[in-house]
Amino acid sequence: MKNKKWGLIILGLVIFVLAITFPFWYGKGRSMPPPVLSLDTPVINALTVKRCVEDTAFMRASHMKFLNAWRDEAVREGVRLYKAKDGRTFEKSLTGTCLQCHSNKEQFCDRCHNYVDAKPSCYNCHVIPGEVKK
Amino acid sequence: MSFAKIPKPDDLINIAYAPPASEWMKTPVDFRPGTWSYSAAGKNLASLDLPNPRAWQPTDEDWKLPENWKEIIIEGMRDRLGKYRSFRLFMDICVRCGACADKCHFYIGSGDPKNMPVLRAELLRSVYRRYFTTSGKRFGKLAGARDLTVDVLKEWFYYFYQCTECRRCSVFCPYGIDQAEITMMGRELLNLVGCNINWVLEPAANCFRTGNHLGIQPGGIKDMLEFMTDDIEDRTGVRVDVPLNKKGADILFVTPSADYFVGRRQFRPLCVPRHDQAP
Amino acid sequence: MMILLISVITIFIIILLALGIAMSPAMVFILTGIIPYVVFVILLAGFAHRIITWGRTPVPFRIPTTCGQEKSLPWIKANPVENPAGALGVIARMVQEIFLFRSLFRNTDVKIIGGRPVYDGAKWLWFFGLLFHVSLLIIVLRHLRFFTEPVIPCVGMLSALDGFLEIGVPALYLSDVALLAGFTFLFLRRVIIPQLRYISLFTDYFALLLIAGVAVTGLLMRHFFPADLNALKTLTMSWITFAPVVPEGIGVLFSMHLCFVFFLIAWLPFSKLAHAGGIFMSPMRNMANNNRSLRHVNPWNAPVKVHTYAEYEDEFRDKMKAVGLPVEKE
Repeated sequence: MKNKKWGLIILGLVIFVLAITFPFWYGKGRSMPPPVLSLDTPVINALTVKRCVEDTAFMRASHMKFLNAWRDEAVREGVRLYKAKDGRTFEKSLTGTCLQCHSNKEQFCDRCHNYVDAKPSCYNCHVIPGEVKK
Repeated sequence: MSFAKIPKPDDLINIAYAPPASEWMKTPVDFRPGTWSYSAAGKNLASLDLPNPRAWQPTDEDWKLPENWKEIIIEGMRDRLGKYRSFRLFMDICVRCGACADKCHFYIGSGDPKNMPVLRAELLRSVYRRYFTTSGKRFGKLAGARDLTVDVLKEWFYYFYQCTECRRCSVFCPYGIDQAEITMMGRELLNLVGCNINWVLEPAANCFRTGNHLGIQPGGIKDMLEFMTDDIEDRTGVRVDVPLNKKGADILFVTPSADYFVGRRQFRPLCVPRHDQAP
Repeated sequence: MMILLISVITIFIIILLALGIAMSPAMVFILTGIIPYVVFVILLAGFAHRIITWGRTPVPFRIPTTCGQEKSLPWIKANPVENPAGALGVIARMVQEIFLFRSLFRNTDVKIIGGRPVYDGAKWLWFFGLLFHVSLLIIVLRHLRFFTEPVIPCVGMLSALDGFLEIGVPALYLSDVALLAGFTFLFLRRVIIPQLRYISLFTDYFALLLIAGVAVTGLLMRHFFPADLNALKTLTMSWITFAPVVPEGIGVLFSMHLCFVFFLIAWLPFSKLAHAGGIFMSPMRNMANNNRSLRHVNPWNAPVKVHTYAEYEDEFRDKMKAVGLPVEKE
């Protein structure tokens, strides 16, 4: 049917399709593999049994809430010792416990955090041992 | 003329806006006196070549519709859906936000929920869904669809002629859904089976046949105009020449028929006032 | 009320379906490997079909709804947005309608007070409707972090702004709160106001509940039952590259979230949710009111039966001659 406004309608549809399929054509040709986290630090390499405070699956999903709970319990309630599920005891401290082993923030923490755009405000204050030395 | 019982102001303002207990699809139409217009006389339909001229009134049980009235209406809908984008869009796009609901002065004045623009459109939309959309065909009532029955037709007649097509609802609707368009479509569909009101068709038929809405014949028009010039001469002393059908004229002046069927008060605008005299 | 019950039951059926899917690896494969593409194609094709069907239907008459002074003589102050005279006015009007819900802002309600109808402004619907839609937009934009690598800086900034109050870890987003507030208002008004209850259909309740399902499962995943975001983004990025990496198992909440989202996306083009595209095509809003300056011809100009003067005179010639009126044919 003769319709002078077809041009505008098709333009609108094209804009809509382009907008909806944006992720498909943005960055086409670039390879975007998921990040591989590096556990290559002196402390981890020296460990005989390579185990974190809790298991990997738990840490991957819940380390933020875990650390938040540590912050509240340690700073606001003074309870500074944490008993892990397998019985070991740790001090509730990001810099003192976690970052002693995982001292390679850029190859470990940042890889995932940049991948999923998670920007915790922890690093506004907490120093990274390795970075200070640089 | 029957002197219908005239309600008092207190009764008139006693408007209940709460909807009735029964669902709208199950609430039948009540052709109470004073709420509907008389149907068009057969001669008016005949002179305009409109289908199904006959004698009938909305209060009759049998509206003497043609045998295949249902097919006629559904085909009429199909035809109009292909010709009017507004119709097609408004059937699909209403989100029942209710912004239009209390904007129609017929609803404000009557409290009848089917005068809410959203529901008046649903009267037509429910039938559209049933015959033109997959979900309506498959899910029926759940999708808000209903069959086209004679009761539905009567409901259409009752409510589509209760819209003055002022388009106030369209101002408040985010998409501009316009009851004027919808009732025009509805009235066109009703015309296809010969259900129209005399208030519309008699002037239309008269205009078609005689050029004026009252059906006044040539002698009557000439008399009216002479009467007007007599009155003007009485007041101003000037005999205005009103040529009718003058041969060899350069200008054909066509006025709306109401212009020469005016009362005496409206004579003043017809006279050109002098700037130094009070009108 | 029956309709509301049926829509709630349908939501529960979808939840049960999601639970069942989460428990079976084969179903997980279908849900995360095949359905995303199917649903996306349905969205694109369905939406395009809708728009084209609407576009193919002509607009015979130029009758936009206006409520301001039309452009007239130079000394009459016209209202260029309420009564657009050209493309600029139309664009201003449409942009305000789409981004600011202009018509809803002028909404009123009426009550009979002291024997008179009294009108008052009713802007809550505008406020919560706009809040609902804007927060939906922000949430969709924020989800782009799962579909682009590296994440677009604007999306990062939007997330930072959204969570600037830094309530909780992970930060509570303002758009989430706004979405819940908007949904609550819209749902409650549909259930409580008698006129709205009277006219609401299954699609009305169901659309709201579906979006609420998406929002609630998303919020639960973010704040109470966190998921492994790394694995999640691996999955979503694999969708983009057309090489889906199906996870071994997915959480129940994620399964529900996906089921709701895919249902919504596939259902969108075939329901009232297509009002998103329809608003652009509404002839009452997107046309300029310039009938006095330009002639518009109806594309399917239907022939009209006319009564010619010759036919008139044939009928009334004798009467005209009787009163002395000149006639064409003696």
